[in-house]
Amino acid sequence: MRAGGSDLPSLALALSLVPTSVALALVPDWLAPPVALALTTAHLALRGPRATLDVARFLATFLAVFVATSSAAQLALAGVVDLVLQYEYSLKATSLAMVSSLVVGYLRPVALLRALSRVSPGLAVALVVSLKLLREYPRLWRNISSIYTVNLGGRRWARLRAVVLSARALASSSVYLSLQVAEVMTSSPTLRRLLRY
Amino acid sequence: MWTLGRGLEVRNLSVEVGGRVALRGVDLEVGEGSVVAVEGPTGSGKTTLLKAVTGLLQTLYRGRRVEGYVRVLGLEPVDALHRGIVAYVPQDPYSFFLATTPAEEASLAGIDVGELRRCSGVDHRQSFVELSDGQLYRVLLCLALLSGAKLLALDEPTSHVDPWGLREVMSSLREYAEEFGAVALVADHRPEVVEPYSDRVLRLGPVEAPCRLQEVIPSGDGEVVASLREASVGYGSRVAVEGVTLEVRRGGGLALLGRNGAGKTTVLRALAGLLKVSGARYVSRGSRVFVVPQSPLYWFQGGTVEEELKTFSRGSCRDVVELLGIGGLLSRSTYSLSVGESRLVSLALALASGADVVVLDEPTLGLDCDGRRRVARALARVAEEGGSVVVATHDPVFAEVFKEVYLVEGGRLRPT
Repeated sequence: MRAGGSDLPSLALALSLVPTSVALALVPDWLAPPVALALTTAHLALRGPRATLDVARFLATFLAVFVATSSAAQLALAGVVDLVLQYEYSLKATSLAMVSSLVVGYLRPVALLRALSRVSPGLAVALVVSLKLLREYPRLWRNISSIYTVNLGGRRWARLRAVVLSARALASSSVYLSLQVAEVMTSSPTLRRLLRY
Repeated sequence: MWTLGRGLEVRNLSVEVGGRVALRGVDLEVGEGSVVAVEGPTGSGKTTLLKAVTGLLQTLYRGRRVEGYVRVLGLEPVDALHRGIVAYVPQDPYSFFLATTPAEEASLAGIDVGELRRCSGVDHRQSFVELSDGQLYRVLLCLALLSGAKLLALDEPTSHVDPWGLREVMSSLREYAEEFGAVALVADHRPEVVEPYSDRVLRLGPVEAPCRLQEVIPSGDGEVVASLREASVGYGSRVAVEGVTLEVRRGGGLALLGRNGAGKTTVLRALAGLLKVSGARYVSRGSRVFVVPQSPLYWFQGGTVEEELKTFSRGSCRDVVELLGIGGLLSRSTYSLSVGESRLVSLALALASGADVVVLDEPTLGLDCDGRRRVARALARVAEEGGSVVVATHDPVFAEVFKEVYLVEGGRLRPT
């Protein structure tokens, strides 16, 4: 089965992520709120509320860590916290996360694999593994954080601890998950056929 | 083209993992068309053997020393892997698929969708995310069978596939090996299931007698600590469980027994509060619930077992460690544990946390008879001390540990 006929749209979509990310990072501050809002709305419309909520939850955790450490650093170095700066960075991070999730959602790993395996089979497998992990993370995060929230109890401090422990567990399981994906992909009949080795 | 040699030749195979001997001096010689049962207790090196003969250990892992002579159809394992004549079916089936449904995966792999459906018995249009662990394993196994591999390595099929489905799986494997002159290695710790379909048995540890467990966990006669009343859960338009009513009482426990995909995990997750239910869910005020999911490795912190225990308990965990016999694992990294060992550690975390209600999904995954006994003993202790235990399992032998057992069929519950 040829995914979507030609492999080129998928490759173009993947490559477009690089200039799009750069453009989003360079968006003027006054334009950051409407861009973030537009991309979130587009995500909601195209990928649905569940997927949007997954990205939002995933993002919220890491933004919280960023805002906390950034505030601490600003306080230590400048004696004040620039809330406007943090607000702008958070909006740009939201835009980047939404656009990445949108693109990843529409990428066809198989088409990408075919297109890139002509150049380098190793690179193609690495890219597909990364793509698979990118798709897995929000779901894995939801699972891990819900388990820690239940297992540590529902009190406020416990919820905070659950977030910290979940983030650590996600980071640790990334290595394990990558190895698992690489292991099964090395012997996967699907991949063997696609790469024709 | 390669020259066809003997099916599989293994001479004096040894594997060291970070200075620890995982496998020592294994010999095996089998012709084409053979099924070999690889047996041994939890942590005896069954998975390591499979990964070494399929070339995965040499290709993907660092810090592993593999010594000895291994030939697959006359080829070195890594060559056999690269030529595509090897299929490995792992213990962890979550990461395997490239596509989103079995039908799409079959198309991508050039396998007839109808054949995959007949082989696996799984609805080929259903998303992989919605399939149970056992169903994923069956799809995975069928993809391997239908891929034309000459060496099939199956890791712990009894941990994932229910006993009813396992007979079909083993008989398909037997037929496949004979018809296509393939060699199948089936690593499992339940000889009574695998041996009848095997030509040879390779033992990597002491031989086990068929496992018998005694009923040790009562229904509980205290107050109700958790319950579901007329609860239903759906995934999109599909109803996974419907009209489930269940009560968990203090000082006892219950088991949910059923085939793969029957809805056991969904009931368990609904009871623990991990899923939203329509109907009523109740957990008594002040009661703490601890969930051990089916795949425990994904939520470990990545340190040693001892550090992991300290995450949930500030006091000494010596009692728990002794009860479960995991003293030898304390200094090991959680990600270096076998699936069975990680099950014991997960249960230890639940016990160390002092939770009132312990909820376990497939508690005997990857465990031998001794391991299952240890789990039963530990759960009995929870009940004796006034706690409550709920498990979901496809293992009828382990379900016998509970006085109260419910059969889950098509998302509905009925007492046995």
